[in-house]
Amino acid sequence: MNAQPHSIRWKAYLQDCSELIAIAEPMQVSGRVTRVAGLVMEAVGLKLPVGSACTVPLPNGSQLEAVLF
Amino acid sequence: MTNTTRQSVNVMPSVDQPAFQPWEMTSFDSHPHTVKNSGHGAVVLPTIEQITAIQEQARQEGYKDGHAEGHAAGLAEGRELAARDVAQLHSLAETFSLEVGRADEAISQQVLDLSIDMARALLKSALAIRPELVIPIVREAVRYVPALQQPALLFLNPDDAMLVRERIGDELARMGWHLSDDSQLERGSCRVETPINQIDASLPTRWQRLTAALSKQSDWLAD
Repeated sequence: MNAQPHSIRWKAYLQDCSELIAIAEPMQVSGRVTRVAGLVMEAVGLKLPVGSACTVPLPNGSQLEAVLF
Repeated sequence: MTNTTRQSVNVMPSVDQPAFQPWEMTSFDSHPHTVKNSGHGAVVLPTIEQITAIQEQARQEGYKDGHAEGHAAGLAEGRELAARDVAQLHSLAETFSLEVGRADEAISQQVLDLSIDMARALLKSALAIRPELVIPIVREAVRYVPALQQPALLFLNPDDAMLVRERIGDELARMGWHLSDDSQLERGSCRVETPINQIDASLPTRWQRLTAALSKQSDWLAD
């Protein structure tokens, strides 16, 4: 049996891992919510591309997810 | 049984006897018997060669019929067995492919796990030997802050804070950063706080976020 497909699969997986590490942000950056109007929130202190997801911790300990636009 | 009784059984009563007449030989002349010879003349006995030929023909016909019948039956049975074997082989091949795929995935995952474990072990020993590795972390955290607003605080482990003050203290001071000691932070960690944002660049957080990007749950404090 040809072993090449397996090495290709392993390389592809580890290559994907390397790319994920390259784009991952190791530091956890938190901004500050300055205004809330309905479902729209304004925040400062974040430098993220449009469409990025972020979490907003709530006073009761839970958190919600928001998408930058 | 007495003799008298035997006689009474064997002797027929005279009334049952038919009348008798003397036997005379029948004359053959009065009723001539005709013999039919017509059939005997048409029967021709086969010769040895003909019998042999008939036997050979019968044998060949029997062989032909038997061969055809046996061949058809054997072929059908063979095809059935072959089809069963093919189905088993097909199932085996599918299972094998599935298992090989799983093995590929398992091996890849194990290689990744090993890489993570090695990276953690190396990073821990590297920080112990070269504590100045915290400086690039500080630079990266400081560079990330979009707009510097006062007060801008940079928290470090006391030993790291001393090191950073020596190496890049002036540079940070010019940019408006104030260094603070935080004994809760381990070496190699830092935390940034400004009025508008906070950056957690501690080692456990950085480690957890990087391994989470690989869909792995790895604790920095393990081992």
